[in-house]
Amino acid sequence: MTLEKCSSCSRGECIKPVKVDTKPGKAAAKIRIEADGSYFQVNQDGEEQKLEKAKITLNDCLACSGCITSAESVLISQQSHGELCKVLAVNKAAAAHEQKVIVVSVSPQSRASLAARCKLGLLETAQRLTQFLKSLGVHYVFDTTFSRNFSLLESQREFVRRFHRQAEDKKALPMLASACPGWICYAEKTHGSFIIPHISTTKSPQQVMGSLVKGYFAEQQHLPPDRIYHVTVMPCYDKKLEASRPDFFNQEYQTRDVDCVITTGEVLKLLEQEGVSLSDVDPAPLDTMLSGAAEELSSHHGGGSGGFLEHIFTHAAKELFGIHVGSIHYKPLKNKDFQEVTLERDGEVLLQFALAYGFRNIQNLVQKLKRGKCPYDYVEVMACPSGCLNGGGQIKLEGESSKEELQQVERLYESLRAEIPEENQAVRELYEHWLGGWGSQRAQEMLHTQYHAVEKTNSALNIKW
Amino acid sequence: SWSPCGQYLASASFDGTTCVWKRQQDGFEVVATLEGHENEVKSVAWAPSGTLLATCSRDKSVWVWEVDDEEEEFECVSVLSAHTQDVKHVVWHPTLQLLASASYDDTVRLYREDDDDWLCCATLEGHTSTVWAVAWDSSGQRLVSCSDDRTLRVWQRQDSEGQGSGSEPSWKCVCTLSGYHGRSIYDVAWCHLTGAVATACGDDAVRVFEEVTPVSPMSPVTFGLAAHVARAHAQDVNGVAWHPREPGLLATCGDDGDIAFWQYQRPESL
Repeated sequence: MTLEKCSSCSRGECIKPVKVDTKPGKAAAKIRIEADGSYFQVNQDGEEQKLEKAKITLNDCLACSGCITSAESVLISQQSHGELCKVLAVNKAAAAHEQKVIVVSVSPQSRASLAARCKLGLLETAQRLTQFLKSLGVHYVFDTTFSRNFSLLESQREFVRRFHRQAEDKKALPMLASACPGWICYAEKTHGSFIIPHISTTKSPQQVMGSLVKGYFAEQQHLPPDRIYHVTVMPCYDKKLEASRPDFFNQEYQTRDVDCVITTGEVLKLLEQEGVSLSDVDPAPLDTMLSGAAEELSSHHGGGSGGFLEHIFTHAAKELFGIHVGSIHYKPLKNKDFQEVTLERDGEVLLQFALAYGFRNIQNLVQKLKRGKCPYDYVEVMACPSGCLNGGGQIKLEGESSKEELQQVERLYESLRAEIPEENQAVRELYEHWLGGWGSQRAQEMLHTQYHAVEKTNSALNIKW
Repeated sequence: SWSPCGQYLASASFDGTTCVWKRQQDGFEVVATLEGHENEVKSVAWAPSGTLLATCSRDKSVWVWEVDDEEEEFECVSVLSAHTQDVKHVVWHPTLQLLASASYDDTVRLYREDDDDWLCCATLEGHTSTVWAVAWDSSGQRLVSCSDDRTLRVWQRQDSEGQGSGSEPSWKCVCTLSGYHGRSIYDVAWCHLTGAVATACGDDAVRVFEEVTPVSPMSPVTFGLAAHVARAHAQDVNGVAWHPREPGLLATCGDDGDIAFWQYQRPESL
């Protein structure tokens, strides 16, 4: 057995043993380490055999805490802007019938960070980024705000279902948000089967986009899913881990729903590498998955982490209690990253929601749950303090304090018109024609996922004092 | 660590938890178990105000907990990941809400509250190996650290002059005591009554140091060895503590399983 440590890990727990076939009946062999770091097994007859190195892929990562809210650049060879450049170069050189269609889906948080950095408006940023990516050989550039409509709608419906089920299923509530992969990794690894039933099964906007691109869009293009190379641009390193989950791998076509995730910071590196400033790039029309070019950008209510709490709250108030919620009042608790929203009627609390951002608030939430003292029906959980706009993959602005920088990105992000997911025509059309209606089997498959408790490995090798 | 009111005792455990015990008529009862650290908790310290508790762990983090007196509940207010290695010890400033931690990364770090979170406001670099423990003097103007590099270092607060009140004070090493200890120094205690500094050392000895009165205000800070018990314990000495009210009464513990009490008297010659 040889061991190799995952490059993105600061602890020893990601070490994955690889079994090397050994011939029975042989006495102990020696292992020699060559100058280049390779291992040779030398048996008693002097025969040499090069030992296989264990390759650590993202799937083997046990979500060490280093990956949560990590702002440092993590070397993940499978998913980087370098890998994207390689794929683009290979694709350009390939014969026509072997070429892939390259799709990039950009998150609205990344767009806001880029806009702040380049001192451009959001629409301009989107248009110029589209042109830049296309100049590199990308064929389509989409916006994950579109797929977020599905995540929001499915989360709303899932909450109402869980609310009705709470009498017979103790773990139906609180429902915990599922869009943050840092939180999911931590929950699966540290609190496993205790917390998993609480986590919403709704896919994140990134993974819904994966289903849309490799499902609907592939069908429209008359292409098998593996002929599309799908890249997302995200504010977060942990999105790379999310994309490489086995749940999002298409066995039949041996392809991932999202092939490569690059961070906002990596897009900036890509621009610098090409010697291009975004403000010098000509704007190009925006692509949409359905019907023609988009004239403008839109967003959702409820803040930079997707607005899950607000959408579910408003929907549930109407659906369960017939109450129309006009504006939502957040009540800060211990700190600005832990806030409460309550729906009351005649002094009676009908719904109690919270948002809990950052590791310290996640801790308090989990401890409350464990002690049976969690009063909430829904919690929007995000691993990063201040949420996704402050993600570890965002661009750090020079000469600005981190607070001012974040405020600038938040202002930009919130400057867009907010759309109502229920009212989006294209979303309706896809539900109707592609998914076979609300709550269909197909919608369940395409828009929901599952979680897996990670067994703790206690290896004596890892103990140090 | 005892709470300032004396009603609660907090204990750090190898199992990653910290327990808070309440004094009862016939013993102690666990009133809260603080979970969250990934692995063993190395040290716990109750803030002088009684409203905050700090813990540190091999998981490289320092946590600050807020105490809810009525409910006897503890909420994590901050997870501080400034250290790059195992954190060995945490201790609060005697009067301010300022926290110090010592680590395997050879540094001491200080933390203070900022808005609704905590931040690392100073890093004390100088030791060349693991810093095992830190202790404040009674005024809180000075801090002493002990290390695996066999030295003690005394750090003094330097208030930056002429700048706005917003500027952070810095901490400067004003004295390094080397050549006294034969092995790693595991613990240090600064007596708030007498000003004497006691150390627990891996060479089985207990030592006490005193500051030498400076000749002039400008002369360097020096400390001299005032007492030395060569074989205080049969094995490594791990911990040392001064009695909070009785001047000169010192307790030590060692790998030999013994707890020893010592009466220290300042030598005339100093």
